[in-house]
Formats: sequence, structure tokens, C-alpha cells
Amino acid sequence: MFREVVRQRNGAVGLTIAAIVLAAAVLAPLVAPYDPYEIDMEQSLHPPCLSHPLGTDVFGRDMLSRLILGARISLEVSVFSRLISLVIGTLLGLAAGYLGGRIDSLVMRLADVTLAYPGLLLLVAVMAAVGPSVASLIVALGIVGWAAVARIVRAQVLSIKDREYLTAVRSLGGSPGRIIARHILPNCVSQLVVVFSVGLGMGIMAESSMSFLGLGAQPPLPSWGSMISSGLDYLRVAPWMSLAPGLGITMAVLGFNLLGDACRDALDPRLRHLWR
Amino acid sequence: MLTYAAKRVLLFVPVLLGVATVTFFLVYVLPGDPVLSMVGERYDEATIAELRHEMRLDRPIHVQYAHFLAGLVRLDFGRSYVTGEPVASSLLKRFPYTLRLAVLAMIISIVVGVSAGVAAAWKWRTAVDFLAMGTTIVGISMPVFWLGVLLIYVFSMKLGLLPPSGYGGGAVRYMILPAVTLAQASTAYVARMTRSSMLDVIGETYIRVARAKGIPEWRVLFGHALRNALLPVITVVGADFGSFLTGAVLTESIFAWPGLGRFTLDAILKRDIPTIQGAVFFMAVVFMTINLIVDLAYAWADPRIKVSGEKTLPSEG
Repeated sequence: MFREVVRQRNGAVGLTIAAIVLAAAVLAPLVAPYDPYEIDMEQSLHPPCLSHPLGTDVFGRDMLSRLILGARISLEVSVFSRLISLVIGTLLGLAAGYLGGRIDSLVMRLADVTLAYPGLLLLVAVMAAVGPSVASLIVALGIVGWAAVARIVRAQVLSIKDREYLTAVRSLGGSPGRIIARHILPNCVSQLVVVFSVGLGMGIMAESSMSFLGLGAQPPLPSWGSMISSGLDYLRVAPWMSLAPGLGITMAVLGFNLLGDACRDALDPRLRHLWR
Repeated sequence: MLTYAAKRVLLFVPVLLGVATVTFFLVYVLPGDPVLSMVGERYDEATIAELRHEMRLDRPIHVQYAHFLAGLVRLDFGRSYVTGEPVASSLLKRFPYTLRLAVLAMIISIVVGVSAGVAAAWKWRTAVDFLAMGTTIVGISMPVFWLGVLLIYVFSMKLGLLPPSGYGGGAVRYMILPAVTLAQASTAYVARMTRSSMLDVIGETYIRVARAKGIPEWRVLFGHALRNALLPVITVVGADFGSFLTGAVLTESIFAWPGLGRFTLDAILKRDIPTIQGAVFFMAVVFMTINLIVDLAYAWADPRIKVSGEKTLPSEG
């Protein structure tokens, strides 16, 4: 699979960008040239120069260091929330598809309700209810994202559950648990990988949007979204404060989108319609 | 077709009830006491009790829930805790602003997106195609609020061409930046969808026949190919229009546009419960209705859907 992804030019570019973002996130304290929280009012609003390649913010904190640490927050939120969505969505999707009947219609109506809220609206409302913090953003984003996963898993289960080899397993006395774990779930893996990788970019976007609105990571945490919003007041005198973090988000999301596309093309070309 | 339509409309009802329920309880658990935040300095037990009674906050939760549902049926969302105005009329007052922006954004998205998509498909695997696809993938990856900031910086701060924010009494100058910002992601999707749909169609035999008959290339492209390629594009456009009408929270906050999105965000920040409930419910209904119309229109246009009974084109993102 790795080879398949890298063979596509876009996949190779995506993988490179994603690897850089991942490295920044993991190694943040090691590679950051300055302490991202260190306040130095003498360096306040310093334009980009050799010692501060992306300039400094109003408290004189080094923008590059904050940007690097921001990658960690973005990835944390994105990866963990996608994992939560994946677990909830897979369980409910399996239950709906395999058990059918009332459980199926209940789960699918719940999915309809979740998807009936446009865009960020449900997320904004949930975050207002539970109060803004990184942890609650992860949970909220994870819960809000279950429905799309459940639909895909359910469709996959429905398409294979009545195949002959599964009837054979059943007639040989295979329990439902065994059938799901040994036969149905492995058939969903490639789709789940695609959903996960395509969703990482969307997760980063959602995190930065919520933090921009003040409903995600709180200052002084250097989230890309909140860095942009705190730079707004200084847009005329210090545009780098808002422009640099936006570039970070765009690059990261671009990388994960390209990578997700390549994973999808490599694993399951039938999913093309998911992300054009 | 009628059975399919009836089924879809019937499904609308339980989902609506679900949305109402989730909206009610979600807002119910909001931290902070709305009465205390209302009285503020004038702290007085009697006033608080009176207000609490007036706002029905002293009743058990199921009574409040029943009252909320009964209100919804009469399109009565209660009165705002902050302004005291009926929520329904404030929503209707804000809606036209959002609608104006949404329509302009939609026009931009269709015109620019379809032209870019057709050009990319026509010049498939040339510089034009690569440029268009490269731009669109960046467009999809760029956060909408950052594009807004970038546009404000370039067009109003550096070049001084357009006003940075506000409604400006409805002058078109004030609409351009927010509409472009709002249209950004949708334009990119429309372009990509148009391109791939055009490429599918161009491979069909009837296109080869049309070319073989000596019909000019532009007529083959626009008369034959584009007409058939637009069908899947319409679903994208429809879904996007639904989110323009409702999900413009980010765009409207950056440009201080007096529409529904900013109105809702303000209500959330002020913990104005009836307004949040009303606005969230209203937006969900608008979004669902547009999606329903798009699905029905699509089923009407593409007979294959009626047979399987379910759309096979989930639009993610």
C-alpha cells in the first residue's frame, strides 16, 4: 500500500508534507528555536528577520516556535477525534448493518439527525454547552463525526453479509461475533483507513475554525486558529501574526488531503465520490 | 417517483423531532444561570424568582420540553433573554442578509467553478488542467476564515479597493469580499466535480458521434457534454447552498455581516437560550429542506435512483 501511495505524485507530496507536520508535532520542543510561551516585550511585533523567521507576536513570542507547537495541538485534536468517530461509527454501523430491523432504523435516524445540522453548527453548540478546551473539543468533534463513518460501515456490511461464503460460515455454526470479527470487519478495514485519512484534514480544519471562534484551544496555547484571531487586531501593523498560522493550516490540510486522496485511490477506487 | 418522494417526506418528520430534541437538551445543559446574568447588578431575590417564573425556568424539565415543542409547532421560539424580542421575528429579520450573501456566493461558485471545471476537462492533462486542479486543492485546504483575513489585508488594507467589513447599507462593494470568501470551498468542489463529470461524459460514444458529425467543438462541449455532466454538479451546488444559508458563522463573523450566522454566534456567547434554540433549529430545518429538495430533484432527473431507493452519492465535507 505504501508503494501504491508514493507512486502517485500527489501522494508523495502529501506524504512529505504530512511527515513534516507530524515531525513538528512530535519533536515540537526540540526543534522550536525559542520557548513558545516566553514573553519578551522588547521583541514585541518584530517583523520576520533572520533570528525570528516568521516574526514575533505582540508579547514578543517567536511565531515559528508557536507555529511548530500549534502543529501538535492540531494533530492531537484531529487524530484523537477521528479515532473516537471511527470507534463509535464502526460499532453502530456494524450493529445497524448486521442486526438490521429496529436497531438499523434507529441508528440510521440518529445519523440523519446528526447530519441534519449544517457544518459547524452542531459543533459550535456542543462546545458552547460543555465549555471550550482542547479535551472537550476532541470529544465533541469525535461524537459529531460518527454518522458518516456509520453510514459507510453499514453499507459495506450490507453488501457482504449475504454473500455465499458467509452463509457457509453461518451454516458451519459460526457465531455472529466471530462472523463480524473475522469476516465482516476485515472487509471494512480499507474503507476505514480511507475515511480516517481523508478525515484528518477536515479535523485540522475544524480544530482551527473552533479555536478561531474562541470555542477551542484557549490562550496562551498556540493553536493555529486562535493565533489568527489574536493577530486580527494587529493586521495592519503586523500582518505576519495572522498570515503565518494560516499558511500552516493550509499546508497541513493540503498535505493530509493529498495523502487521503492517494490512500483512497490506492485502497479503494470505488470511494472516489467521497472526495473530489 | 411519488413513492420515493412520499418516503423521503415521511422520514423528514422523525428527523425533525430528533433535531428539536437534541437542540433543546443541548442548550439546556449550557453552564451558567441565564437569570443571574440578566439581573446582573440589580441582585434581588424577588426579581430573580419572578423572572425565573416568567421564563418558565422553575418548571420541571419535561414541562419545559413540552412547552418548547408546542412552541415550535406554532413557529414560536419564545423571547430573547437579552433583547426581549420574539426570537422568530429576529430570525426572519436576519435571514434576508444571509440570503443575499448566499445567492451572490452561489453565483460566484457556479460561474467560476463550472468554467474552471470545463476548461480543465477540455484541456485535460495540460497546464490548464494542472493549474485548475492545483488551485482547487489549495482552495479546499485553505480555511475560510483565513482567506477572509487575507482578502481584507490585500484588498482593503493594502490596495484600499474594498471596505474591510460591515453591511454598508447593502452596497455591492461591501458584499464582494464576504461572498468570495463564502464561495471559496464550494467553487473548488464545483470545479473538481464538473471536471470529473465532464471527463466521464466526454468518453461516451455519443460525444464521439457528435464530433464525427462535424459539430463544432464548442457546441459539443457546451451543448452535448456539459448538459449531461451537470447533473452530479447540481447535488454539490444544492448541498452547498444549504450550508451557505446556515453555516456562514465564520464568514459573517469576520466581515461583521449582520446575518444569521453571526446572530447565532452572538447568542451562544451571550447564553441567550431561546435565541440559540430557535436559531439552531431554524438553520437545521432550512438545511434539511434544501437537502430534501436537492434529493428529490436529483431523483426526478435520474431515474436510476428510484429503483435502488437510496442515493449512492453521499456528499462528504
